[in-house]
Amino acid sequence: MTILGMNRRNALIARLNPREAIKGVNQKFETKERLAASGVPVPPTLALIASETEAATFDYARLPDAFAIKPNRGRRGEGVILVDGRVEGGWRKLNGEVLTERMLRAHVTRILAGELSLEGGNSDAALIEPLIRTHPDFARLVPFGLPDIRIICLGDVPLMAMTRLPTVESGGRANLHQGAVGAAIDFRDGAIFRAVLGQDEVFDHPSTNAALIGAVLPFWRETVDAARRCSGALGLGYVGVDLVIDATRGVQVLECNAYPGLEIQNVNAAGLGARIELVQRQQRAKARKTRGTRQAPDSLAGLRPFGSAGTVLRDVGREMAGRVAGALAIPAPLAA
Amino acid sequence: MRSDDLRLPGDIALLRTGYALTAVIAATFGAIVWTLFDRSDNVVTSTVIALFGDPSRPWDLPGMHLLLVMPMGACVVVFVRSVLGWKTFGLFTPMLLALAYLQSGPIAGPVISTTAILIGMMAVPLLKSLNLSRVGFLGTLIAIVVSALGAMALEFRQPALVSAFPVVVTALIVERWWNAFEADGPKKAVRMTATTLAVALMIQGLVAAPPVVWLASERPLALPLASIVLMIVLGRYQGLRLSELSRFRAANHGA
Repeated sequence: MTILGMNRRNALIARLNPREAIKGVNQKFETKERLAASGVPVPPTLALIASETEAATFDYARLPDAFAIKPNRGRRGEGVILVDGRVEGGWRKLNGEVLTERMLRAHVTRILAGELSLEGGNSDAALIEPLIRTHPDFARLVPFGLPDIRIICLGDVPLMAMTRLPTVESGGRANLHQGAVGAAIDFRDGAIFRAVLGQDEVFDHPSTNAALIGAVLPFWRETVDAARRCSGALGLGYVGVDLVIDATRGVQVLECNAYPGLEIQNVNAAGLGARIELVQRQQRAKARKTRGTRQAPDSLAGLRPFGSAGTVLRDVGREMAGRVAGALAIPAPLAA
Repeated sequence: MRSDDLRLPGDIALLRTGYALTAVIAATFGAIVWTLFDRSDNVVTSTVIALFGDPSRPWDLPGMHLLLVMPMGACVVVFVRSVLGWKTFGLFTPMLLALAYLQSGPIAGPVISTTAILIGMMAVPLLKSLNLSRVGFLGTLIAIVVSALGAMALEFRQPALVSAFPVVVTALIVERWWNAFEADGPKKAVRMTATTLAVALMIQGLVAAPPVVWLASERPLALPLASIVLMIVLGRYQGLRLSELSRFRAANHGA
């Protein structure tokens, strides 16, 4: 089975992603702290407004000319305001509208009330970050919106990568379902080798006519390196990492997804299932090797006969499953 | 150029056939509603009775049956979700809807519940503009659906039709429909509503089939126990869903 379907993905996530870790990635600020502690580059935090009293005393005048304000537990980019410069009496939003300080305060109040957050939340915090500006190499392909990179990782092994390029139809959003272009990236050199719009393969960007196939992404090594560290930092065994390339700060991890979508397989014209099996087989082989060299068994194992019996059974089962899967699986090279 | 921009003659013919089919279904539906509530003898009512039999006839199932076939309905839902991959509202909404059908009759059930859903759909935009809380919204919706059904039943002196009708299920469906409409757009919402109703009809047809009724009366525990086994097997299914075969066509060709 080379394609990863919804059923198997859900089973995989149930086994590899603990509940607390899944909850954790919904909180942007806490996720950033954890990632930064593991050396993953994340956007800096200008301010975190966590309560009404903080909001009342917050000095909006000291905000820079360009910033982004978002709910800490937002969903699908809802409630995000992007500001690009100052105008008389306030700021100018990225779409050209004027944002006065009063409007900004009202927006913060809405965020704090949890109106723009994930369901079940009745309070939230407002997160303010510097505005991300797309790297010129990316901007050559698509000069508007914020193109991002999605890398799916199993533990610290990157499995598949794509970049999502906004179009005029998608309204500048990097969302495949809203009409953005998905482009598959070759892990070896960070070059685009296939691009998809909806169900159809494309070769140029539909809005800018820039050639996509063969275009090489900047900082590719750093991008993959950042994505590989996320799993360990957040405790997620299977994770979809969303990254952007900022013009001045370089690679930044924007978000980590505990339930990454499966559309990436259509973009890459390849299945995730075979790659996951390959990685797991290698991990099992490695685990067997280290078990063989270990000398004394756990002193507690003798005290819990049922526990150790269960372990033995599980190992035997794994061995058998590995053999069956090994016989059936078609070997697929990891790099595209 | 994207494939959905293409308008080939075949597509247009297909579209027209679709429109005609929709019109026929809508007309039949209206005629059945009319016959259900207005029992006077006229062209429409006699045609409907000639075609479908008396639409207000009940299922006439033993009281225990409803309970015993519930696991079977759940089984169908599990199958539809994890093997076929069809999207329905809520988890077991189709099953609850099918139970509602069983209480009202083979034709009266689907027709009345769909009518109630349509009434609710019309009321939703109005209620949304009042900015109610979720509980307040659902409560008001239940009251509106009850009032509309009750008014029809009383006007045409058919109170038995709606006496035991599960309005809460209807209200929940209307709410979910609206959420889907706002989140995914009209196309997906209509599709999900149609799937939910179709699965409910499937469950109704299955659990009221003569062999199932016979089995439920002869070996009451056989159905629930068999359902448990079947659902455990289905619950462990990790292969591709039927809908994913077409969804991952591109991925499959490359792999």
